[in-house]
Amino acid sequence: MILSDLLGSVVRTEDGARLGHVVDVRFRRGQGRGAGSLTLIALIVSPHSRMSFYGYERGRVNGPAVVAKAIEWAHRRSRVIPWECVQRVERDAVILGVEPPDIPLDVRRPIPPSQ
Amino acid sequence: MSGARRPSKPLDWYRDPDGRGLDARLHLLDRQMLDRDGVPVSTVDDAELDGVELGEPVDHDHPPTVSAILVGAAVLPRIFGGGMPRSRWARIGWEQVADLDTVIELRESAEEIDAVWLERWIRDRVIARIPGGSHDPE
Repeated sequence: MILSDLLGSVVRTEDGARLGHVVDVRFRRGQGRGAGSLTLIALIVSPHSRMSFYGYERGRVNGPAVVAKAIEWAHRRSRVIPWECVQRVERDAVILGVEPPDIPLDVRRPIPPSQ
Repeated sequence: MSGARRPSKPLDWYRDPDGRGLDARLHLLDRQMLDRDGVPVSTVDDAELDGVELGEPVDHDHPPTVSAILVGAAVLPRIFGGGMPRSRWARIGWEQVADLDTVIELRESAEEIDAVWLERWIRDRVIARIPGGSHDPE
């Protein structure tokens, strides 16, 4: 499979509820020769937009303020969905096998307790 | 083989608290690649994932990894939609990646990389035959 098979896909739960689109794919650098291996750990899912916004939506970039606010609004309630929750990947859709925890993408927002 | 399950790590781990995370669109796609001599080669158009296939259950004992960088005419699908046939992609194996930063450094020389043969061919057969095309501007 290639990366673009995942990017832009709709994310659905097992019972068909739509959670949003995959706007980015998160890897983790491992040890090893050269740059180290890249292991897929999570999907970044936006309920409102398919576009990536080059760092703005992650809450670490905040200027210019007007642009940051507009992008924050477009990506409101974006979340990180751990790869372990995925059951299978179909053409244009990612199907989850378990209910994913609510992990806000914006690091300034806390992860709700009791998950 | 194990199927979908609740996350095995603390939830904050998925938000990359230690900076070892890498987001594909933000940190990988469209990055410039340089060969071992610092010569620009191409940009990253896509990446090949090993360990997951369309339509098949995901095996969480073996999470997917990036196995290659793909290079090809990615502009047209971005404008008009659809995807490139697999046969049209050229691949640079991930083992050839020496470093990953604001640019991607490769272990090979640009002259040895099959993925950019077309650029070499155009340089040698077309550009070099244009008067003044075979040397730097003076």
